[in-house]
Amino acid sequence: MTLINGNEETRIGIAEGVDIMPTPAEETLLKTGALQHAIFNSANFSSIATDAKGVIQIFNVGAERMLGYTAAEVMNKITPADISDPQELIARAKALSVELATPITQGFEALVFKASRGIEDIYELTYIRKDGSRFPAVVSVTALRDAQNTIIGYLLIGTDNTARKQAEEALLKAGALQRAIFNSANFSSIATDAKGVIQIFNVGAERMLGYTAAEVMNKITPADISDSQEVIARAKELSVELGTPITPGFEALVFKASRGIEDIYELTYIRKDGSRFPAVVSVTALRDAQDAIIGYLLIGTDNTARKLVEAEQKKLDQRLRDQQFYTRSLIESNIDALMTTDPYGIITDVNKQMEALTGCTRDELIGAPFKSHFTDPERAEAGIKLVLSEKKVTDYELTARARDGKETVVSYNATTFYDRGRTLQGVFASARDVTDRKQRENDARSLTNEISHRIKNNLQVIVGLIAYEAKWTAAPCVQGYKTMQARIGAIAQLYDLISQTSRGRTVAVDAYLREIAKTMSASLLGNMSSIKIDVEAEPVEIDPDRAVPFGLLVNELTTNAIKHAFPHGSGTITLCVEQIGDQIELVVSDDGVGMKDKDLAKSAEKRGSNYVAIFVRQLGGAIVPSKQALTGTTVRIRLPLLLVPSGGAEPLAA
Amino acid sequence: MAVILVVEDDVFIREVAEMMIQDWGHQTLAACDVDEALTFLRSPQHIDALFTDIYLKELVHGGCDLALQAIALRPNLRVLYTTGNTITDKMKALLIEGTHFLRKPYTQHQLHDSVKEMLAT
Repeated sequence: MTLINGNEETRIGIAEGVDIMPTPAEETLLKTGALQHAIFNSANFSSIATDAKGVIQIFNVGAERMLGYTAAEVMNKITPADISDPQELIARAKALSVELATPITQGFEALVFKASRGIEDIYELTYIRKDGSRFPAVVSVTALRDAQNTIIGYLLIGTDNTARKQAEEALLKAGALQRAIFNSANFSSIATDAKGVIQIFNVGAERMLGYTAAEVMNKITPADISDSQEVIARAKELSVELGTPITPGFEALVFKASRGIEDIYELTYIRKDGSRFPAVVSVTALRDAQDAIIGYLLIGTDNTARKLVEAEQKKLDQRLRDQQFYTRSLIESNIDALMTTDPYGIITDVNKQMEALTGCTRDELIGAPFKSHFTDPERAEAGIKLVLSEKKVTDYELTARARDGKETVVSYNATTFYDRGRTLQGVFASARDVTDRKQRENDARSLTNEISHRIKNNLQVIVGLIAYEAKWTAAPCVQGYKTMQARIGAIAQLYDLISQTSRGRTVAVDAYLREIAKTMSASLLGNMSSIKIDVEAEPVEIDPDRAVPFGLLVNELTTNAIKHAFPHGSGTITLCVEQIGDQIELVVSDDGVGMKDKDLAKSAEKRGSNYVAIFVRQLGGAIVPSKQALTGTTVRIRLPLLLVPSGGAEPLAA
Repeated sequence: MAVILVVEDDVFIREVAEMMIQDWGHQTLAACDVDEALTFLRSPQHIDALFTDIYLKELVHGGCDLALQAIALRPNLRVLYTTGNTITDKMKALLIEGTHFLRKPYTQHQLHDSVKEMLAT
C-alpha cells in the first residue's frame, strides 16, 4: 500500500494504470477507493496520518481548515496529542488503563491504543485550533499496517462535532422542558385521540382534577370534565366567529386547534368531587407524518390563584372607586365653588358649583385660564400669584362673570397643594358666593349714609342757628358762638371717624388730631390767621368709646390756647400724642404769652372751662403738672392706654 | 359780586347759607332739587357759581349728577359741593375736576373761605 500526500491521488490497494473492464470485485474496490478518496480530500473531514510514533505525516485540507494549521506547520513536528485537549487525554488514558487493565501513557498512545490492538475505535475528542479555540470532534482511528501486519502508522479521521453537539444540547433542553411540562404537577396535560377520548392524563391532570388516569383514559373526553354551560357558550361564540355550526361538546374545545389556529382560552374544569376551578387551556392538534390529525393535546394551568388575585384586585379597584366617589361627592356637595389650577393658573379640576358660577361646563373650564372667568382678570391672576408666594390667601374678593353675563361677587380662600414628593402641583381654591353679604354691606352702607346725612344736616342746622344768633350778637360774645361751632364741628368729625369703625376696631389718634387741627384752623382762625396748629403724633390708637371725649378735650385745650395765648394774633399751637408705657400722653402746648398761675390744673380749668377737667375724668386720666417755660403754656395729660397697641389693628384713618 | 345758585333740600340750611352768602354781597338763587336747579341753569339767568348739596332728597349723588349737567350746559360755571356723608372713592370719581368741596357742618367762616376760593378760580 502506498500513501501519498493529500494533494496527490490516493491509491490504497488500487493498482495503477488498469484500463481493462473491471471484475465485480474490482468494481467494488473502485467504488470503495472513490469513497475513500472523497473522504480524504473532503474539507469536512480532517484526515491526519502519523508514523508509528505518532508524528504527523499527512495533514489534509480538512485538517487544515478545522485546525487552522498548515500541513507544513505540523508535519514531522508534532503528534495529534499536541492538538488535543490534554485533560481529555489524561482522562482517556486513565479510562483505557482501567478498561484494558494495562497502563497507558497520557499522550498519543491514549489516542491510538485501542486501534493499535486492532479494536475499532471511534470517540469524541476536543481538538485545539492554532488560535487556541476548541471544537468537539468525532475521531475514527485506524492503524496502518504493512504487508507483515506491522503497524507503520495511524490514520485519524475527524469530523467537526460542534453542530451536532449544539443540536443535541438543544434537543436535550427541549426534551427536558417537554418532559418537565408533561410530568409537572402544575400543568394538566391531557392527550386525546382524534375523537376526543382521553389517551394520556398526566400527574398534573390527576392532581388538579382528582381523577386517576385509569378513571378517564379511553372513557371520557375533556368536555366531560368541563363546565357544560361554558362549553355551550363557547360553541355558540365560535359558530358566530367562524361562520360554521360547532356542536357544544369536545368539538367546541378543539375546533380552532383543528383548523390550525393557535388557541388558548379560559375554561372551568370540574373535579371528580364536583368542585370547580378556572384553568387556562392551550390546545394543540397532534398530527401524523401525513399531517392528519391523530389527536389533541390540552395543556392546562390552574388559574385559581390568578383569579383570586384578579378578584382581589377588582375589590381593591372597587374600593378605590368607592373612595374616589366619596371624595368626589364631598367636593361636589360643597356649597362653595371649588377649583384647582396648575402653577400657571390653568384650571385642572372644578366642581359643579364652579360650573354654575361660570356658566361653563367642566370640559370647557378644565384647561382654560382661571383669570378669564372674572370681571377683573388681572386681579384674578394676581390672586393666584399671591397664593403661590404666600402659600395661602383668605377672603380674596373677585367678581365672577358667567357666560350669560351674570356677575357674582365671591370670596376666595386658596392654598397651594403638593404631591407626595412635595412638588408644587398648583392651587386649590374655594369661592364662596358673598353676593348676599355684599348686599347687606351695601344696605348697611346706605343706611349709614342716610343717617350720616340726617345727623350732619341737623348739626348744620344748629351751626346755622348759632351763626344766625352770632350775626345779631354784640362782638364780645361772638367768640363764644364760634367756640360752640368748633365743638359741634369736632363732634361731627368724630362721628365721621367713628361711623367708619366696625365693632372692635380702633380710631387712629394721629389722623384724628390732624382732622381736628384742620377744622379748628378753618373755623376759628381762617385762612388769614397767623396762628398755626401743628400736630406731632405717634401712630397711637384709641377705642371708639373714648374717642368723643378725647376729641372734645383736644378741642377745648386748643380753643383755650387760641383764645388766650396769642394777644398779638400770631403763634403756634402744637398737638402732641405719644404712648408712654401703658399710658397715652397728650400734650397741647403753645408758644404764646404763657400763664402767671403755677397751678396748671386749676389754670386749665380756669382758662377754658370746666370741660377739660370733665373730659379728663371721663377718660380716666389726669393732668400732669409740668415745669412751664418762660413763654408759652404746656398742658400735659396722661390717659390709661386700654388700647390696642399700635400696629395691632388697622387704623381707620390714615 | 356773583350770582350763586344754592341747591339744598333742607329749607333752613339753604336759607341760612343764602343769608350768609348775601351778607358777603353776592346774589343767590335757591333750588331744592335737581329739576329746580336745572330750570335755572337752562334759563337765560346769569349764574356764576353752583353751591350744591350732594345728597339731594332721595338721590345719594344727586348733586354730582346736577353738577355734571350744569357744566354741560354752562362750561364756565364754578361748582362748590357740600355733604355730610363720608367721601367715598365712588363719590370722588363723580366730582368734576377743578371744583371745590365743603364738609357739613360748615361754619359761616368755612363757607366764606370756600366761596371766596371758588370765585377766585
